[in-house]
Amino acid sequence: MVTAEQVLLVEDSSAVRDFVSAMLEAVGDYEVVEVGNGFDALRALPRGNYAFIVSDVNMPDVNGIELTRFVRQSPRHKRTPIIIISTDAAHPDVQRALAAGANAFLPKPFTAEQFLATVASIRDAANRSVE
Amino acid sequence: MPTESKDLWHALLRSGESLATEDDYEHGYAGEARRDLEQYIAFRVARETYGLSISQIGEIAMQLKTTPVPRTASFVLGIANVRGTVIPVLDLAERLQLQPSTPDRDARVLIVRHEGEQYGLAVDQVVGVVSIAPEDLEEAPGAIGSTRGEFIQSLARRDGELVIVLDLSMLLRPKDFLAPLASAARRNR
Amino acid sequence: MTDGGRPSSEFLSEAQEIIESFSRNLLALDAQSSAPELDPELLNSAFRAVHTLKGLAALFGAGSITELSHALESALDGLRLGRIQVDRDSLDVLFESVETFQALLAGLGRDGPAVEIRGLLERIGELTEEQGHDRPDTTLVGLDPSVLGVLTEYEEHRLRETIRLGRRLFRVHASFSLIAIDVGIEAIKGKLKTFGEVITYLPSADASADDRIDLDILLGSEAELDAIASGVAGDGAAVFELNPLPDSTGAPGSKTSDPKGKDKPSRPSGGASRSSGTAGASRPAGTSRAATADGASRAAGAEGSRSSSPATRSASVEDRVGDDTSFPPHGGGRVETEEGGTTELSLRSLSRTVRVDLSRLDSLMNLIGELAVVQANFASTLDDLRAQPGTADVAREFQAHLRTMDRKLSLLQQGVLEVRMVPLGQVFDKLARVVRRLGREADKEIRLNISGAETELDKLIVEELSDPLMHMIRNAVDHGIESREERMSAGKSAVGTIELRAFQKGNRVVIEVEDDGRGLDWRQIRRTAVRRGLVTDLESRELGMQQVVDFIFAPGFTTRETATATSGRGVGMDVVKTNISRLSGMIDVDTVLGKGTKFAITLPVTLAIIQALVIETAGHTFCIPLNSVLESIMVHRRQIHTVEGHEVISLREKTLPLLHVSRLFDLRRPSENHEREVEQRIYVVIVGLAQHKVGLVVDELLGQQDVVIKPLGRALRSVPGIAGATEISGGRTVLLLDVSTLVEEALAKPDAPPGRSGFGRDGSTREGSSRPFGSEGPSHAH
Repeated sequence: MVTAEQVLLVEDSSAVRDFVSAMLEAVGDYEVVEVGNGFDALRALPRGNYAFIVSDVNMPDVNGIELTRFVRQSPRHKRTPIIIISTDAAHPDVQRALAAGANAFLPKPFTAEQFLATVASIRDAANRSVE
Repeated sequence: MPTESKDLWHALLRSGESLATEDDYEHGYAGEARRDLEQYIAFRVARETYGLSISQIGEIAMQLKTTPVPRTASFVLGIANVRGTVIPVLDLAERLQLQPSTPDRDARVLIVRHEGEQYGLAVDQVVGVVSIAPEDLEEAPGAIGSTRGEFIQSLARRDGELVIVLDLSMLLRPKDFLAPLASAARRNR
Repeated sequence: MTDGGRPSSEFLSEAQEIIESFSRNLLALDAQSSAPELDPELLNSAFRAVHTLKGLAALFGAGSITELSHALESALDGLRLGRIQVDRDSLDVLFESVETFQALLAGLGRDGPAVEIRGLLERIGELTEEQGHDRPDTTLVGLDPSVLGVLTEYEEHRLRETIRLGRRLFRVHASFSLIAIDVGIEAIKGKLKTFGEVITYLPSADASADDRIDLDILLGSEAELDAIASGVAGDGAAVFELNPLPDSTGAPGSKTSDPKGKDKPSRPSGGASRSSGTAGASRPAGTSRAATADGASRAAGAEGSRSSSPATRSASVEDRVGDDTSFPPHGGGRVETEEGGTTELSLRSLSRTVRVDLSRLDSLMNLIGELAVVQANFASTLDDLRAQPGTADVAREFQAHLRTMDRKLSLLQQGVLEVRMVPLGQVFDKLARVVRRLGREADKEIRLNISGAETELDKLIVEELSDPLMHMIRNAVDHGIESREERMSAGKSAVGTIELRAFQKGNRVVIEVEDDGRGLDWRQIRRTAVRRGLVTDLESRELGMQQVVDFIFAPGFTTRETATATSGRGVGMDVVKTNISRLSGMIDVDTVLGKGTKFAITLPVTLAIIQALVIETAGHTFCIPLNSVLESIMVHRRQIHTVEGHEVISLREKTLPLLHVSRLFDLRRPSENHEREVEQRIYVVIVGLAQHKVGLVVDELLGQQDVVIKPLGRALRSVPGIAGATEISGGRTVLLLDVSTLVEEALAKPDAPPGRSGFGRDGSTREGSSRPFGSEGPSHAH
């Protein structure tokens, strides 16, 4: 039996969280750990080995950019792929997140196909870089 | 089959009514299936046959225990509690201003839905489900026999028999429910 | 994700919550709009709400809502970044969008005319176009670019604002245990907020342990370093001041304060840290994430003392924030947070409420009702069982179980009822928006004070209250509060006040709407009442002021002949009263000419279940709400007297008119009950209506019980004298009497006891005795 891989989802809208979780769980062996804010993400990080992280950018207190940088600096997850989801492609915040180390950006609204394609591509890239 | 129709179906089965129509027997179920046939529940009140579209009927009950309500029109038998919902029950013969007959074993109460609420219509007998083609429906010319024109929506003829399709919104006009004395008094306020 | 076109309830419920919270933000902003400085957090919250709504709507395919949110988001971004002015016009547009959102949500998945948003979008567009240009980026020279790089645009804006407004910038470093991070953060956040504005939280990866995390909190404040330091000392946080200034001299150093007074080794410049430039070079944010600026945290003389001797303030900030290689040791950074408890309460989690469909609750209540019937059946079977010999023991056990079940069923019923309760705040917020809009339209300045918004009522009642309250508020704004000039010349303040209060009083809830306007002119009311034929001139002059004022509740009464643009027909209070009565409530008015008017609505807490007195008369069973019952007595037939053709009895020196329910409803007794006619003992239920008491004569008193109220439906709900249907124990359906209508009716009949003319049902004026009731005959003075 293949144990499910964990994914950390950081997003403050519960409906969006459900949407993304449902997508991930439907497609494969993913176990989604959902958190609603940056602090909970900080708390969840040491607890799991995440295959990848999906995070909103614009969150109060600890925002997605800060979270990304923190993740990149942490020994455990420094190579974990990070997908940023946000409504505005052109917003400077997105650029900053990518600069801070996020691997990909997906603008809302996205379809299941787009999401999964992005997941596939960043995981490929991650695997390749390991090799 | 949508739930409402299924309930109706079971209700009809329980009450022992036949569901197949004359047409079915004639054509040995090999008749052309027409998609534009509307289905109606046909029932008898004071020896006349009436019909209501099947979509308006939620279920068919046997006797319902009614609590009389003072100051209501004579056709209001009272209120009944159907699974927690209180609905008014009308004596359809009285409402149509026909000669009422004493209810016997065949008497039923049609539970109809109108504008989001339920009502009970006490009838003498439920005949069954009839399918009527649009071309068989005629405009009502006004009163038919002793049935007042305002309650009639249209007429259907099936094998020489007349089915009077009733206008539910006229039957259930709220202001008619109050006893005449009371409404007169209120009008003068 | 819609299923067959109907929007998902999850989406609806979250969208609704977001819009309500957005509305509250706007109301708070509106209240502050005249204050010297706006709380930036309000604008930010408003922005976040719309931003979230946009993402949500986009994901769930709600096109118009997405479009509107998108436009609003740009506008709010402009507002929070200071590029657009917050003023009445901009707020107007924002308020309009709240209403539009509500309309859009309500229209989702339903057929009907689409809500028009073009006009609103244009107005929002105009707002966004007005944006000032970005201020030149001069003031953040010297701030560690790595800090800037992780701030969002908004946070950066707040940072710049802090500096522009001349406030100080601090970095508060604190360490938290991961398990209790929420508690720890709330604790320190609360304290920091008293000092100023928290700009952002930067997590640092340099935690000493796997179960801890360090955060650098950027704070903008006018307070002194020492004050802040002592404020957060209890949390073991270290506070550093950052001084980004336009010019730089490159000298490192900054003031720091360490609660534990430990020595801070200064970092050698150019040491382990990679430096890609000295202070002063302004670096475009975000391009050099590896860049660190040289820094040394050294406090001259900071050792051991918090009232530090002035350290040299560097002309430029050289402080590495959040860089793991150059962190000042946090020897003193232990946080004394409560680590007790394994409960992981997330204080930031969304409210734990569940939005419930009332119809589901009704289904649950119905089920409970049916269970009660089953229980009754058990009880009767038990009785049969007991009749059998040798079953005493089993029967007793059975009985005990039945009692337990009865208790549990009551608790269950109570529980379901409690779920129906919602706070009045929902309605109050809507009223606040209405006041604002009407005030603007009528060009009157009106302040609305709300208290008791958390008071809870049955959801059904709250929904039904919305309209009557709206009417009353409209009347208060249009007719109650005078124009500015009128108020000033009357010596009142130019700003009118409307108070909206709610509080619980016993098992009722009272809602008051009070204005400090012109009050009601009882003389004018009297004249109008006479003119409308509600009372004769002669009779009217014998009425007390309060009785005259009560005429405003009479059907068709209105003193405003002209319809105003906003109120249409000068909405009648009779409609309000009818609505309130339907909720088993009462409404009273208190007014002082020139000073103001106060309406008080009293309501039962819940409509679903009430306590009722079950009675029987002429073979029919009815219920009377216990709230209306003053007492029930038994009298002897010979105690009944007749005064002017009416039956009365004497009760405690007062005369009580009697009313036979059976006669009122024209109920015929079955002939076998003929003995009842000559029964010597009479049961009288005394009910009260304001100052009038009436005794209802019934055949039997069947006891008090909790009854479940069932709505009657459109057709039967206006039967006069019948308030509804109830389900009494055993599942029987019984009618509930509308006491106030019955009493009024009885007193208003042409052959009614003299005295109270009230609102005649037949509209005619009455000749006949106008003597105050009770002053004649054997009865005593009232």
